[in-house]
Amino acid sequence: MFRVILYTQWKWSRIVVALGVLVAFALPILSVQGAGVTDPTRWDATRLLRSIETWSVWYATFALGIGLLVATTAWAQDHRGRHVYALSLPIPRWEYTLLRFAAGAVLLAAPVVALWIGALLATSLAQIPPGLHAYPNALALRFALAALVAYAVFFAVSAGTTRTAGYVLAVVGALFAAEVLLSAAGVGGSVIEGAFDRLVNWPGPLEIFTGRWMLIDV
Amino acid sequence: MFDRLLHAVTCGAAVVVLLAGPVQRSRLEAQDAAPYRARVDTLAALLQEAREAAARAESSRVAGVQIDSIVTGSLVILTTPAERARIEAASRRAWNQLTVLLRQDTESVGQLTFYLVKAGSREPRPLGADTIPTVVYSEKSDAVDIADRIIWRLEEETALGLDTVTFEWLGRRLPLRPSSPGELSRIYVDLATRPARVVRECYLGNLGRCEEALLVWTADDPVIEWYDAAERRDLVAQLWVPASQSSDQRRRACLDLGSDDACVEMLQRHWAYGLPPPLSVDAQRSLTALALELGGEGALGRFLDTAAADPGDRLTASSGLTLDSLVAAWHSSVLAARPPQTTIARRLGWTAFFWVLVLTFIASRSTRWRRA
Repeated sequence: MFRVILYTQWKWSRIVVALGVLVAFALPILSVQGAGVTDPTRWDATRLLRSIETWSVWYATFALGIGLLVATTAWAQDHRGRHVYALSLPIPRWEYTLLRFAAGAVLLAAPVVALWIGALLATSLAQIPPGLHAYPNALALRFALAALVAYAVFFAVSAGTTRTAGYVLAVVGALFAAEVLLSAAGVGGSVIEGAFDRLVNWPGPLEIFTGRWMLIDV
Repeated sequence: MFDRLLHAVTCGAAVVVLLAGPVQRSRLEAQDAAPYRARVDTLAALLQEAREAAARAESSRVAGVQIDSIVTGSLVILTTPAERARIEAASRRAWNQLTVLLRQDTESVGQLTFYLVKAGSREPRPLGADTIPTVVYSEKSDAVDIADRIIWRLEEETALGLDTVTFEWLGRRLPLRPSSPGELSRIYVDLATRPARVVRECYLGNLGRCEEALLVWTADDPVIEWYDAAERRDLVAQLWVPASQSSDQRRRACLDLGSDDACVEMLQRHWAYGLPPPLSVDAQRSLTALALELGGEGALGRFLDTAAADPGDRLTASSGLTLDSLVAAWHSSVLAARPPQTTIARRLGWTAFFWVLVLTFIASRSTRWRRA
């Protein structure tokens, strides 16, 4: 059963996954282009760090994007067929959902591995100035966890009914409305900022997206 | 009768004045004139301030410029009423940050009155505002940015009271608030990555070399003592000097033939063309901020009032510590500010995994039945 679901999911999302692999492989290599010269001057360390920092934001963004795309394509055909296929299968709903989730997670492994290989290649080609170290494994692990969390978030939203998605949207809208009202009333504090802080700080689900996404660091 | 009485009183008064004159003169001669001179000077200064304030008020009235003064602690900010709310928040923020190092020592920094003006503002400037340090901010500046600008200006003004060596050593700005974690973190990166032997040895805990890297005292020959041969070669490769036959020969000997003597000679001759200091000036400023912090009450006054034209003496006077102890404290604070590790903490990994499980469980609870 899992192989069939994995195969169908691969067919639906192969373009997304293939593009993801390409981007994941290229990102680390592009990020160290400043360190690629054969005889770098030792004064390049700070400049290189700044360049790596600039690129680091793209890893998090990419993890979020690939998680979103793989999750939505996993459920797109079910939504289009009004979930009749799922009803026709002789397995309970929870099992079907877990199979879908697992298939998506397996597909997500491809960009993760591509990023890992790209990071290893990039750090082996780059001339790293003294005082700096390469962290290809840590970066790949962080990317894997972040992509998985993003995938799980969007998978959970996509698995729900339209009403569930409406509730999620309503909560987001309510936060924005509260922000506008509080701001108009001149009350200090920000609702969105508070909610965001809860999400990105421990034990929030998006904490993995914060921190240093550095391929090369001190 | 009345005339006679008036005459008698006048004569009596004249006798009293004649008799009292020598007595009074002898009393004046017995006293020191300096305190009287000081009082007169103070009164003259107050009169001058009052005249300037009156002139400002009058010019504002004539020009139709309304000026609000915002007083926060000893900080006085002059601004237009329309900007009051924003500037007031900034002023409070600035003062809160300043009091950490200034404490009760506000007299040491002297001028604490600033005129805040928005960039591009066409409102006429009130007369007298030219004598007050001006802080320019932009339309987009928030309270945090404006507070930073006020402090920056005050730091510049305060540094003017220093000797030339210390003034330049501090980058023309005396820190008046403790270094932020972000600033210390950047200094850590500097310390870990600067390609200078003296900085590497400082990073590894050689405090004498830290003092040298911080330029607290001057090395006899920085070219030799700060850098190793490879670093000198890198420096020469980046060095720009006016072309001449001798400099071209030396450059070739240094870069192509690997002659360290030629590199040393090149750097020593052309020092002024770009031998970079081992650490950035931010490191020096962070050391000074730490000295003022550790020195407690009156630290700023001691830093400014010390007669010695030497940053080291000022630092020891203000902190009340030996230079070695102060630099050791600085070294510890910088190492403690190491940026968060790139490697993933186990807690972070488990938290992410936990949320994946929670979200998968939520997804599995979704209903199979859909409305048309």
